Amino acid sequence: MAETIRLTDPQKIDRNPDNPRIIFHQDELEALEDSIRQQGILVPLTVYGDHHKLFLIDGERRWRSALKLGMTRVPVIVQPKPDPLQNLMMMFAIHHRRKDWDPLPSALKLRDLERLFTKRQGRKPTEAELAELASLTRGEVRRFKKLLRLPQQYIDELMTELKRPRSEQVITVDHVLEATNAAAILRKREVINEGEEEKLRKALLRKFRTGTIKSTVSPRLLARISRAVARNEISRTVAHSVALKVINQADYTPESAFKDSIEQADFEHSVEQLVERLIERLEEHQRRRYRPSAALTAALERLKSLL
Amino acid sequence: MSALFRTVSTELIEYAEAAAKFFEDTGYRVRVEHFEVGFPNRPTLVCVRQGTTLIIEVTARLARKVIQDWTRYAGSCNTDTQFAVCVPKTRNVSGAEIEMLQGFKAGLYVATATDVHERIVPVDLALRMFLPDIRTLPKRVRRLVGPVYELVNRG
Repeated sequence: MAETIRLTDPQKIDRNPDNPRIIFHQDELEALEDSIRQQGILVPLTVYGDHHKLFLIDGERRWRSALKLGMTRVPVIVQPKPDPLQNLMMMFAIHHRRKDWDPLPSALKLRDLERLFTKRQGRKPTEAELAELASLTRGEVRRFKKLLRLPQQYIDELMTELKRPRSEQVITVDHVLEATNAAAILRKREVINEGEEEKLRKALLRKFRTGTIKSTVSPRLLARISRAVARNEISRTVAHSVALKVINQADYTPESAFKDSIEQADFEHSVEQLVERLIERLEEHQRRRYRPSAALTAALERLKSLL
Repeated sequence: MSALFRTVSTELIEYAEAAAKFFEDTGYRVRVEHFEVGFPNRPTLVCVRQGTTLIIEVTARLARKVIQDWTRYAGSCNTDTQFAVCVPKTRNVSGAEIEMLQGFKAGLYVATATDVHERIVPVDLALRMFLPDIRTLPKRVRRLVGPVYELVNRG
């Protein structure tokens, strides 16, 4: 049962060690400081007590701003101390939907949540259970798990990047995931080998960093090349050759690889799919015994003239 | 040391750490995020050496109001109190900002993750000394007292 609101010295409060939010940018803190300077803290902080010390459940940015402004009293609501699993669940429930939320720190805390659940229940949580525990969607859980499967080196690099001001951040979680997925798909289709997969991932990230690749989803073109290999539209040798160019040539992008390998085949494949759909619709038209309108007849005449 | 900084944003922590080390190495007793009644806010560092108190704000934003509040506070003290901002080297300080800092007699330090350099010397803001306009003095006197005026102007 929650207690009533009371005023406390923010110096007596400490951050929650399980808060997945560990990045606090200056622009956000300053905006909040301006607001608190003018209007005070309108929403009390939520804390729990442990050994004569208070720990935050909700309101870390407000608490940091209050400290900066030299406030000696802040409103708090004191809750009973949660157990570690409850504490993590609450952290997720409170924080994960807020804007500008960095996914990597959340993913790292999700791993802790999974570990605590496994310890308590003697089994790993299912994806659905984990989503429920963390108040996330299953899609978000899958995305976080993908992040956790990244080599530690990339996780470390992303954490370093996250600590930079937003305006200076170049590489995001999405860049790393897109580069990783593209390289993995080419490897899965045996277009490249294991060593080349890592080199390709590094090359893609390097090109994101230098601005050679402008679009985050550009590496998906490499996945389309691998699908074309699976459909036997291009040979594995051609696909391998363009993948190596992405690795070895500084200004060679996934767009270049796509153009040099399957652009025509890919375009024709999409045309073929459209024609298939058109045929189905015309057959349906015939089955319904509709009389073709003048407009439809004219369009079909235009089509006929193209062939 | 990063755990000590609760009011410094994540992107500035390495510079705050470098600044704390720099002032410790130059003989100051450094207090991190120390607050006293009368302070306009909780500064990043309060550095004390003998009778001098140097207040440092590590920031990437040179907010006029904050600088004005601090220099006014320092001006109201009765011991040698100086104020300076410390900005990351990656943050370009414009000519107008330099002028503003000089106008308030605030110091400027530029930090990398490992080092700190002084760009504008902070001065004792508690000292209020007004000298007669040197231009009104005879040429010979100006020659004699000129260096003293320069020292006073530099704080």
